[in-house]
Amino acid sequence: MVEVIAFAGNEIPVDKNGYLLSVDDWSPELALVLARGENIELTDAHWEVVNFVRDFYLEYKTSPAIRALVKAMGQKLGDEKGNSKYLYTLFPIGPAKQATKIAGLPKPAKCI
Amino acid sequence: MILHHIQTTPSQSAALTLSLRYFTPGDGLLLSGDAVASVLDTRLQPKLTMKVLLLESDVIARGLTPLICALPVNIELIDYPRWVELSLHYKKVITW
Amino acid sequence: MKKLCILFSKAPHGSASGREALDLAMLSASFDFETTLLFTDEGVLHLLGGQQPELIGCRDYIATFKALEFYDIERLLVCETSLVERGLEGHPFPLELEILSPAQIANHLNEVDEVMVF
Repeated sequence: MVEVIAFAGNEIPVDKNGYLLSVDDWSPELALVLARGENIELTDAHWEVVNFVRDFYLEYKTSPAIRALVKAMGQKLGDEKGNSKYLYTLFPIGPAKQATKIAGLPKPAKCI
Repeated sequence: MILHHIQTTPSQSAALTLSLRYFTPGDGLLLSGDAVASVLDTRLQPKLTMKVLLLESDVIARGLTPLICALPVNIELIDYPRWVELSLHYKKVITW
Repeated sequence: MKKLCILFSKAPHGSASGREALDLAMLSASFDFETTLLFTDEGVLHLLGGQQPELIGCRDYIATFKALEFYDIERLLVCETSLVERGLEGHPFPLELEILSPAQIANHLNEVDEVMVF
């Protein structure tokens, strides 16, 4: 059985962990709903990471795992953002896991 | 000190060609499964300058025993216990 | 730290071989294996630019090769002979590659702890 999220009059299919099945179903408004499911209030700092992982996926066709996320963010945005402490402050349960979910991406392999 | 293990014939895959390309003295070459028939390939024989190990049961099963004694290739037939021994003797096994 | 070499020897898209090789490479690297990729025979076709696998219903795992530096996979080795056989010597590839002679490849295969052939 496919699970769904009710959103704007549509049913958006998700996997058993709540990740969107299709990246094309995503919108910034849907991200707010997904973030609420994670008990996260999206600030500009959160958005920066969410947009970053989404761009990462669209360019490389893979959801970044934590280490790749840290390294790629560090390269683009500097060390103060490219470190796991900063990312965990924003996404306490697991930056790669939560940011990719909110960004409408598949769950990264072996992720935190 | 690599034991190169090939299971397919040159018509099936590039496994044997590649292992021969990267073969260095001290390495071993072991053919099993369909690959045992590769030694019949006359185009290939000049390249088989090393000792070639064949898994005996695969040779017998295919009726190749009488054919392989007269070949211009240095062949040793091995059984499973010897294979295990060889795997331990070489530093690593690459299954192509 | 164990050294692992993952060898791409099949053409992309026709089988799952290359995708599986890449998945294993990324997984191994995340478990701190020092991982190198070696492209040989038809596996060198993975490296061509301008591929659009989605057109034929395949996942575009080729795009992921560009992200490997973030996964601590820094060395992409290519067999020179395989390039020459396909008229690809001097071809402008979109990735940073180390082109090796068969003897150099033999050295590398000797140096690493494990070699996985795909």
